Amino acid sequence: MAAKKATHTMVKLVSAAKTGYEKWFNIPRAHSKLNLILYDPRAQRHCLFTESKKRKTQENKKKDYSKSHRV
Amino acid sequence: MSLTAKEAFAKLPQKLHTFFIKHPPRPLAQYATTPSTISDPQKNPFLPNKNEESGKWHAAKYSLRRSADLYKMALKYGLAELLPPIPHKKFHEERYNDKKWMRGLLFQKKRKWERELPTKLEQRRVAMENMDETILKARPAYKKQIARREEKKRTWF
Repeated sequence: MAAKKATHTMVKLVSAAKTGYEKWFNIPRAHSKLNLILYDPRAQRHCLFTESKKRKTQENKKKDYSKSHRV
Repeated sequence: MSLTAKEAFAKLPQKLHTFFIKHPPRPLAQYATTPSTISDPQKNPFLPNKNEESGKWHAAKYSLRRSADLYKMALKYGLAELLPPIPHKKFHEERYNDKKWMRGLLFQKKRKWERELPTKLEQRRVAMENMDETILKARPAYKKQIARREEKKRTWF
């Protein structure tokens, strides 16, 4: 049997200021793509942090507000 | 009383004296500035010359060391122009001033990181400049933060 997938993953967030400053987070596996506004000490200001690696996420299905399913 | 030409010639150092006997000074004899043949009357004793029959090169009659020695000695006596030309060597000030630097010294290759550093810093500077815009693209609500920052900015000095 294959190994069971863990519930959480470690993701690395990299600063958009290209200073090389990174932050790691342990988040639920199915979480959507993370982008946070955190402080970058090398840039000395708050910057956008985005994930460095691709991973599978659960895409949020758009809510269907049409009444076509009603009888 | 001044010396005659003959007397002065006799007083020259042994090396120069014997050289000028074997190879007459420049105005009286012509010498080639490039390597020629061994049968050429104007062949330069400081340069290699070719035997056209066998196709083999004869080494210079005077090695680089001896030719340099002769030149410097002749310079001291002011007779440098009388020697055959030494086109492949420079001496004293000319050697120091018209130095041929190594290409790698003038156009240094540098390490990979040194070559890439200017572009890296430029990218960083541009990213910092456009940081507000990049944040706005991801979070449109960041406008409020920017407005608050502008409000708090100090305009007096």
